[in-house]
Amino acid sequence: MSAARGARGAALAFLEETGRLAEFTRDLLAETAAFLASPRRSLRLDGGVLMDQLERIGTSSVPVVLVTALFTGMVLALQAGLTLEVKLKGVTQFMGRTVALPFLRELGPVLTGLIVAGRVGSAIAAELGTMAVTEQVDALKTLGTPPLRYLGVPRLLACVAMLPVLTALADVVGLFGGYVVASLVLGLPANVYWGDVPQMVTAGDFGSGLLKTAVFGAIIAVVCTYQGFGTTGGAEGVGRATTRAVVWSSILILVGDYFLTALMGLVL
Amino acid sequence: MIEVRGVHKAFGPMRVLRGVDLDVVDGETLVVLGSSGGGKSVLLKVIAGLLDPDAGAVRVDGRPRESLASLRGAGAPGTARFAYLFQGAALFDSLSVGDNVSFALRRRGGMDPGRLRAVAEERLAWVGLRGVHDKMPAELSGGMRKRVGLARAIAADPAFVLYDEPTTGLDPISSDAIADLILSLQARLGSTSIVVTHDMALAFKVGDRLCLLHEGRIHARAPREEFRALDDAVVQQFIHGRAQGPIQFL
Repeated sequence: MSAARGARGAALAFLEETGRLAEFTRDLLAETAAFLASPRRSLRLDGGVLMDQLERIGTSSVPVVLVTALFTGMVLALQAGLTLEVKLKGVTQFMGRTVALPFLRELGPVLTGLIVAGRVGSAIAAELGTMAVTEQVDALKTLGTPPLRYLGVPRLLACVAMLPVLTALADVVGLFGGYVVASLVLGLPANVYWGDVPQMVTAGDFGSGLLKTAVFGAIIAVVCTYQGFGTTGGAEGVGRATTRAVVWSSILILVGDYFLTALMGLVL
Repeated sequence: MIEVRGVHKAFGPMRVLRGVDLDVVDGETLVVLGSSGGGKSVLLKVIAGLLDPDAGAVRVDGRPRESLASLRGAGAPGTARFAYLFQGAALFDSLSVGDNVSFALRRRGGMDPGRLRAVAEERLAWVGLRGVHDKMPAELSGGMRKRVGLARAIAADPAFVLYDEPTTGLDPISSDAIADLILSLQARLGSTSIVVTHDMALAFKVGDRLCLLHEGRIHARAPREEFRALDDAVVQQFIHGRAQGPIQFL
């Protein structure tokens, strides 16, 4: 009986939390629409904050994203090479497409999303959480500035804008990493590795990956700002909010990836 | 004029405010006394609009107080009439002292950077700070942070100034300096002020009227000297800081 009551309580708490997140998302999107509706005024007021976020979320994430993409491309080529060479007896002419297709469609977007969720999402939640517990969020209100507009909108726009850019860079570097291994380790000529890539890889493969990461950017921004603004309980609360932000944005990226892939399969 | 009528506020099972009625007359400084954790800051946040009351209402000059409780709130025209000095100053860590002070004016628009700097330096001088415009909040002492918080709060010439425990964490000399500052700003701005504190020296120095919040209600209120002489066990226990008496030590 008490187990059933506990499960009911947990289900109710989950539904309440989901409702609050949905309400928060609605408000953040409404503020973003208001921001975009009057771009000159918005940029005069918050252009500096937006540029700062573009730099923090985008430019500063480039090194870690590229290193991850390079080695993922390399290990993908190594695995593909071993499979094609040893198990399929020398069909290494398919090496390029074997690296390119999964990388552009899945690995590039998902890995970039997860890395940014860990690196940037945690920073967003920790920064906003600290501002919440030290009353800086309340101070914004008393100074006539809606916190969602000043703190939330620039982070959402920066995440949505920069994730596709980072993914595009990761795609290029990942394919290059695959080529380095194919060429130097497996001794495959460049024309064999790159040979059928242009025929097999379409603009849709590349574009669908970038489109996915724009959605991943929105997921990271919404979840992490929601957790940050909702922080209570001092330093311990900031730690809890940061952990929740990274865990939930990572899970939602993976779940969202499945549904986006299924949806794009129907549409494209 | 600020009118507080029948305000109730609870957090879960904890009923913090249980029907607060209060009037704050234009131009006066009202001090709200009360035990730690007794709901003084909650009352101030309800008056500021940062918390919505569960029941009751706050009216400012006869009109309902705008709510700032949501993350989208704050654009209402009445917001600029209020200034709030937070207990921990709540300075924006990522902005310089000068940018903190001129924050509201910058976002309001219509001032060039030179004018904004001049106004920020003037307000900093009002609170006794010079040469700190370009410093970051982390470089300041606790007392200096409170002064910067005050300079930021008054930058836009507010009609109402709300002080949340302005001397908490400060030594007696710094506390007295803050009290002098409150008096000088009151004279300069002619604003209406509410000071929430349990610092009796501050209360008797700056308050035109004093009231005591006890068990979620205003237990007693009186002009400064009358308050000191009130024949009330709760008031006298609080004024003299005795552990024994009707106020239970938590």
